[in-house]
Amino acid sequence: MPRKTTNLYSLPRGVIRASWNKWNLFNLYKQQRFRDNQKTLFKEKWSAKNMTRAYHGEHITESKWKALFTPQLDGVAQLDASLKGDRLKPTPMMLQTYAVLERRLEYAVFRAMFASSVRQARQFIIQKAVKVNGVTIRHPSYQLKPNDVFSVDPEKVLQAVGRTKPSFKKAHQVDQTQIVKWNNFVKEAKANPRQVWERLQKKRQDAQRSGPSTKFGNDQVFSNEVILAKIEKINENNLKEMRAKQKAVDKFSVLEDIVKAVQKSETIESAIFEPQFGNLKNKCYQVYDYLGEKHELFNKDSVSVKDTVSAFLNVKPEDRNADELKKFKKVKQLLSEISLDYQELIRVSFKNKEISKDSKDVSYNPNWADNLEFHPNIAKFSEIEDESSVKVALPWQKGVFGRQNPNKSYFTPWEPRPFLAPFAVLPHHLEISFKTCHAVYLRHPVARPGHSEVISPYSVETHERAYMYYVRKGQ
Amino acid sequence: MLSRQSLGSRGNAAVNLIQQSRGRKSMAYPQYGYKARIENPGGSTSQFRLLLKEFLGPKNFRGDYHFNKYYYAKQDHTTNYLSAPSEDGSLTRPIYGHVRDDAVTQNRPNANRNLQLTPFRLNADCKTNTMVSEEMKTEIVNQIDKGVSERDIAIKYGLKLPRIEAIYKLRAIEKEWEEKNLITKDIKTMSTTMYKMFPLHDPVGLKENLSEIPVPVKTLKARFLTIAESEPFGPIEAAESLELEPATETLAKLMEHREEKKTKKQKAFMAPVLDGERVAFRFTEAKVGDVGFRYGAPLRDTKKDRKIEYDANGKMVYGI
Repeated sequence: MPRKTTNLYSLPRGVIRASWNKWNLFNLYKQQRFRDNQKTLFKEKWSAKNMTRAYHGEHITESKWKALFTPQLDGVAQLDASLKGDRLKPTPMMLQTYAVLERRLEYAVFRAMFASSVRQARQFIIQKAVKVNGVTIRHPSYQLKPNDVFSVDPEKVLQAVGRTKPSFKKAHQVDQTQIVKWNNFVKEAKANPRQVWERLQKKRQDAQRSGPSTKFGNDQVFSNEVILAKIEKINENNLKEMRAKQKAVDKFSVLEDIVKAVQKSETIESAIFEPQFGNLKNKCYQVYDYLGEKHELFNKDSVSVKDTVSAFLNVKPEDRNADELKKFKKVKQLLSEISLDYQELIRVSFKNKEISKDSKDVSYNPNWADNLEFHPNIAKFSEIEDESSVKVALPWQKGVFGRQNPNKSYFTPWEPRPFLAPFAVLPHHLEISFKTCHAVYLRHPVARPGHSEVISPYSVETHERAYMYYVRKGQ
Repeated sequence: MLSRQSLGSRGNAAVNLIQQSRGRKSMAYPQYGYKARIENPGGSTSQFRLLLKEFLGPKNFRGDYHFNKYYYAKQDHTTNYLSAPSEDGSLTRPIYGHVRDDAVTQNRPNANRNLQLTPFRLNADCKTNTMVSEEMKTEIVNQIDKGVSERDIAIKYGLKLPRIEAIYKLRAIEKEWEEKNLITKDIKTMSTTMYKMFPLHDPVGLKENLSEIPVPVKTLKARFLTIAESEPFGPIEAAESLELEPATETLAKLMEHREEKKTKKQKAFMAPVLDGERVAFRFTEAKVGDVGFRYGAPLRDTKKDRKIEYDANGKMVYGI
């Protein structure tokens, strides 16, 4: 039987527990340095024992713990120590005082981050959710051996590491607020799209300036990553398009374009080539000039421009008379010059189109707000009989807030629990696979120079006094 | 608790009883003060709760403490532990602005690896482990499959042998789960979230020490030796006086032990089937005591601290 719980996370007491509770986080935040100058040694030993026992095996009764305690502590020596000279730090052997507890299955499950507290790990074991080497073990005190593989039911792990599922009432409240906020946003965006767009861009740039996004966020619709991904995609597509266009440009295509431009217009001057060829308009006009107004190419009755152009360019030099050949060579040279320059022109025009990642004008589309849709209001809480009748479809959320799948015991779609990061410590004596909720117990935790594998918020000095207390059986 | 009224004439004794102090005398206020600097609407909330509220910061309509820098799990392979900006290890009063523009964040150098790996500011000897990246795991598994010895892999990646074996074992389980389609979308999100919360293993900077041996028991106690002043006394002599073997031998023994464990097989043989017998008997080695009772062995069933064992079905049984 575990010890009875009474106000584990009391703020005035401020003791630290083996738990991810947010109250416990504040107690950890308030933690003060151990006072090693108290009136008597016994006082020091007593307070050290009090503090450390609140974290290590708080649920185990004192008499049981005294039976578990072993004065011999595990440490390792490093054979290459002499090569490092005097840089070696002392081995914190005293931090091994509570190492025997780490062999217990409940502790291993908690350290592997499959449960949010040791007491929850005990619950999981008792509820038959934990297996060791494929066999269900129902005893939290089960002693693990090196190379044992233990696993926890993923549903339990998702519940322990995940955010709490909100009640339907709370979720309904959040959804109502979200819908009102979204509708206001859509209304504003439709009224002044430019202004709202700029505001979003500014928000994005601010986020970008302070480094890569590090939080597990919910605002994925306009988040930095999403917008950057969009920009990248646009740029990539542009690049593809540009390459395809450049590849298509050769003497044939240039001449074809020139012929088409001539056929379209009534009066022929260099300006007609400007829309497509820009600065190259004069060269284009030169081509036209060399060929002459009466040339068969410019005959408006020809069926296919492409065919006539390829026929003209593919005539062998020996089939042409000297005068024609001279002209033809000149035209050919001009065409190759134009096609080269035209490729460059395409490159430059696409370069201008490219969107810079920190530009303010990220692909601003004046009609961007047209695609946004108002969300219909949901019924009042008192009028809802069946939860499944509530339909929420916001851009960042499908289904009721946190209850996409109300049959699950955790927040769906899954989100990590709040304040997880300050408690997440990856142990050295376990190898964990979160994908399968399996872990291997590598060895009993040991101490080595400057490091102890036993996870504890208390310093060596504190553990030393606690060890002194228990090595004399609490005297 | 005794009250003055119930004791009548012995009231003074009762008062003495009540005045006995129990537990800690001072209450656990944070070092930066015992008064919160936020409003106390109605004045009914205790100072401790207000201090907690101040620490957590404002809550948005979703129920997120979105300005608290510890609220969200970081997703860039860096940790987010309570840091110690001041010299005495105390933390300052929380300041809220934008999560990333927090004054405390600026005080904390992200590049400092030691701070990154130390989860508790008052215990520098406790460090978080690093995650072996998925790519590195794949490489390790591929190399084992190719027949590269585990020792070479251990040296290459700076990981201990048991860890490499564990990676291989867990990969096999992951593969099996993937084939059976047991990894749901939520589990995938969870595992990637956890994966991105920890720094990645760096085989150059953060390698594990492969030359570790259990501390020899004989070195744990002091030994006194009288020697002549002129007699040289170095590590070799010290090892001799403590009866320690050379390091190479110790390491070789440890390796042998590991390999032996792997190849241990249970001896068994089939008995010849005689005429008229309908079944073939297979005999395996067993130890008396593990199977049945050893005659004359003391039974500890009346003792208080009975040995606890577990049978093949995970059921707890008392050992003999």
